[in-house]
Amino acid sequence: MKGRFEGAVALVTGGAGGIGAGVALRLGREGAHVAVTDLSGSGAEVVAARVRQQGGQASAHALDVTRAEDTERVLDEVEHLAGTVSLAVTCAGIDSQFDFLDLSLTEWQKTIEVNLQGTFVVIQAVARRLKAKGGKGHIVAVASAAAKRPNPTQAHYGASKAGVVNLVRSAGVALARDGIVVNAVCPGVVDTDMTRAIHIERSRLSGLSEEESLARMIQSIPIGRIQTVDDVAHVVAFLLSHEADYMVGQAVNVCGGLAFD
Amino acid sequence: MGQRFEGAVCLVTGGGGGIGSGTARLLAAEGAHVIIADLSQDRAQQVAGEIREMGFQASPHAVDVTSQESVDRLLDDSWRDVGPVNLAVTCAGIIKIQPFLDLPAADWDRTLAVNLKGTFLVIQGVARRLVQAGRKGRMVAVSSVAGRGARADVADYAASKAGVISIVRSSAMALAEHGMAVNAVCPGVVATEMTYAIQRMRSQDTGENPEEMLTRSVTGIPLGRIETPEDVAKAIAFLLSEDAGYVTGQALNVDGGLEFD
Repeated sequence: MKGRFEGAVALVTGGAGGIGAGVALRLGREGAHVAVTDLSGSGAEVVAARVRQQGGQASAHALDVTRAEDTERVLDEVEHLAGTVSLAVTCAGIDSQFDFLDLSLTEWQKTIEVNLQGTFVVIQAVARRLKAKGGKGHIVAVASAAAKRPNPTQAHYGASKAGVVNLVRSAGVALARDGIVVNAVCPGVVDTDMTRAIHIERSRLSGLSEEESLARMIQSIPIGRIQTVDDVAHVVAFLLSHEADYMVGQAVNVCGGLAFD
Repeated sequence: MGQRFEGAVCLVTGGGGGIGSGTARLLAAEGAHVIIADLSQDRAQQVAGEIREMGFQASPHAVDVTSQESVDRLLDDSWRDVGPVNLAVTCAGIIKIQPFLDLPAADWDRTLAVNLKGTFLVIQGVARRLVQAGRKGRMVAVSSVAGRGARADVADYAASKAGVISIVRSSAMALAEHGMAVNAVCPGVVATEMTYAIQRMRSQDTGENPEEMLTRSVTGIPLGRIETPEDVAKAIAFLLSEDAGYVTGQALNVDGGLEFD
């Protein structure tokens, strides 16, 4: 498996988070220069250092994905440092738990802005540069199984991720003939800080303990165990490789059987 | 990619056909011993012979996937002669173009028997033996974009392929606790004898030139080129690999952007 991405430059947004860090480490092991980006520059630096520790190449960049000019600045930096980005994985995302009737417009807008607008900004910016250079590439957006299920306590999150699934379809078809492959993954319950935080919040809403809340969630997963970051990273790596060149605009459920369509 | 399937025994039904033989070649090249099972003993022997000439491992076996007895014989012989069948790909399938109003019930029964019952019998047969032996395994069924969309002149085929997506979901749920994963791929317009035969049948009905007809259908593919058996085989190989460990019950569209849900 080593070396599938040798010589390529990969951009990972939300690179300081659970899935983002896992993806960055995986791409680093397979030979890419990984531009680890995160709203937290110091968080990005920690993960970039881990990629370098395992013998890979990485740089760290603070990035607010909701801002097109910030994205352009980071892409300039990465291009100067390592070359044109031909692999991109959009992991930047936020979540919060609110009963539907209590969900504020502010919370709705913030979530859509980061999760959906942020994904659009990054996909478009990366694709524009690639097309201008006549280069081919692969882009994977991290959506969620929540995109395909009802989410009574996170309607904003579910809607933002459903938007990502549709955005990926449109971008996938728009860019297919330019040799830019765009797909998504829909993870389920992944063992990350974000998932832990969700269950702390849900326990506030449900009155169950945090452990009980998480345990019930895991019981509902057909495959019978919580998902690891690597479970997601393996599939992301497949979709970034030439093995997936005939897949266009798909959202692959990597969720242990929680969702289907 | 290395040898992802070293030591594995992989059954490929419809192994004499376009997608089946392409998949068998890829899996054999990555270390699997492939059982080439086909209704035609001659075709099975030919493909197995070609694979062996390349220096890889393959055994031919005749099978009628619509017969429980025939499937049991195939699996019992394979376990005895080669070893535990822990991977399976069901490619056996038939198609016949005819107007909906003229579709005879006997043709409906035949198509459903080969494409759907045949898939069920193989998945169940492989799984029963693995559960009994306390072993894990992975299976991939070949469905089709026709299982996602409407097909006026192959209603029986489309229904059978939609059924394949359903049996994959149900069997995946049933087998998750035994450490088995079952997934499907939905190929689009693949450059195989079956596709060319369809174009010939359709052109007989419409009087259109078959080449022009094929060109028109390829123009409708967002990616802009016809699919190769290798495009399908790569996705199947991924779903059979450890990297797809958390993916189960899914149907991946590998179709250049024709279908999404």
